[in-house]
Amino acid sequence: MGTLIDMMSKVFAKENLPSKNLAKERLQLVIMHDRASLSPDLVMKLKEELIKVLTKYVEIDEDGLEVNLDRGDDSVALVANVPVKKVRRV
Amino acid sequence: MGLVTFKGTKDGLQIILDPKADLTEVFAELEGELVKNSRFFATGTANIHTCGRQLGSNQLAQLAAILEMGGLSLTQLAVKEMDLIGEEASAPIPGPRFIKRTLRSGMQVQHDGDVVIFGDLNPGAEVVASGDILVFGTLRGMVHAGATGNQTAQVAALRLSPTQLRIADLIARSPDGEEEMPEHPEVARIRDGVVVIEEFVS
Amino acid sequence: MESKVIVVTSGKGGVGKTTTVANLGMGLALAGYKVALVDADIGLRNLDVVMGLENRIVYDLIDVVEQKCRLRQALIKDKRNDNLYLLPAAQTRDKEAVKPEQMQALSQELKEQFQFILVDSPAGIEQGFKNSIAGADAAIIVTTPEVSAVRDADRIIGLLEAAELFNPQLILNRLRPDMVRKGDMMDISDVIEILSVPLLGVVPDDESIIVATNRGEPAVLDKNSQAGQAYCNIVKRLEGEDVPLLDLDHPGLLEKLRRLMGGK
Repeated sequence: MGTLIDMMSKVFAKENLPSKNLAKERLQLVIMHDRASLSPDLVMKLKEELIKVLTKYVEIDEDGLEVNLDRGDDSVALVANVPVKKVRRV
Repeated sequence: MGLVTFKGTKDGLQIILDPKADLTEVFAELEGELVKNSRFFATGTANIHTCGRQLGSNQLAQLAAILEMGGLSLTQLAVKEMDLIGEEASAPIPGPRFIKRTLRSGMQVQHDGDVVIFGDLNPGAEVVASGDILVFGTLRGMVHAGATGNQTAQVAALRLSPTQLRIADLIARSPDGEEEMPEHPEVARIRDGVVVIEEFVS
Repeated sequence: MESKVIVVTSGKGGVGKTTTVANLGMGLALAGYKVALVDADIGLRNLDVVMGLENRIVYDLIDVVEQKCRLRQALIKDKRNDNLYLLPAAQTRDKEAVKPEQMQALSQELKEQFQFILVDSPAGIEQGFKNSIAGADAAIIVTTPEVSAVRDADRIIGLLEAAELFNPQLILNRLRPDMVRKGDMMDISDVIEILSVPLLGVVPDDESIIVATNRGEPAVLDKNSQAGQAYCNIVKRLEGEDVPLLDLDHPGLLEKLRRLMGGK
């Protein structure tokens, strides 16, 4: 059943953009993710160095430290969860 | 008696079965020997040499069962075809190797003796034999007959259209450009120092 | 001129690496360079059939690295051009039969005799790919204007950088100007924007490539082939000449006629 509204929405839907635009958008997104992926090796290194820097200022629970790459729809964020035991007063 | 010979080698136990005697008798003797010496044979792997005799799947199963009874489990059984014997000068000449399938690109068969293929030999597949090569199918791949230098070796196929064909130390290749598939069985052999291809007549 | 080993790679299979190697190799040989083509796709060799040289293979790359023969014995001279040679891959072995160090040594040996050495890389990013880039001085990435191929090309560029092969050049293969015009295919600028690497050339999707492959004759030999023309231009760019991109939007005579007759 094709009502006028259906037809209108079809005409203006994203699918009706030239398909190459869609291809490009999807590619840009997926490549951003691909490029942002970290190997487990790198994550370990990153953790170690983070701990080194952080312990200068705070006493942290090293085992509880979590480092993750958080992927949103159009952004990638490095999220670190650092349980602090005590703040050093220098 | 003497239908079964036992030999200890660095690769384990060799059991050589007489190729001409009746198989039931051979098996009976093998069984008797194994039972007699079961403790002695209990460890070590067994290489079975049939010296040219083809064993059907039933016979193979029977053989495996006998070995198992004698203390050799199926996993220790290395039943190869006749080509096992190579180094020993006294060993009988290996028989033909039968391949009942199509050989596809990337597959390679090497055999000391003749090779008979019931199926096709596709481009990219290779057969190297010290004897003749017979293909009951279409030969499109690479074959090397008489690979150890036998100039009298031959290659025959129902349809002979190899990418490359070698006999002894001679190499022939298919002509460049499109070529029609032969309609008759053909045979390749060396005549006057060159490889020639002729219609196969019995 | 200093000898150069160029690896042709893509990540994704089926985008035209082997065809590219065959055509660039023939084109460079026609221009008078001594050229060696190396098929590094061990176990799935194809460059020999694309070049129409499959019936001449006696020894292969593995035989050379395992020193079963001399390099000279394994090199197959092209049947059309004396400057061009092929080192075929082994078909009955697997990729683990070669090590990157052996490929490096092989590249060095080839450099003594040839000005251009083009290495046809296997698809994928595993051992075969690593072997193929081991002895390379430069890289050419082949991709098509499709999301999967471009994504894989991006991954490959990253891996090449990690292996310290910088500044790869891009060949955009199988472009269809009609689809680009309709907005149904990414165009040159879209792909370049995403991958941000220099463009070496664009090759149109062309039936003559299939005909050429059927015959075992690289399309550069066919003066009427548009793809062959595009490969000729890429060869000139490899020589250092500044050649403008082929005007793919410029319709051929037949197309013009068709439009005049009231076609689209």
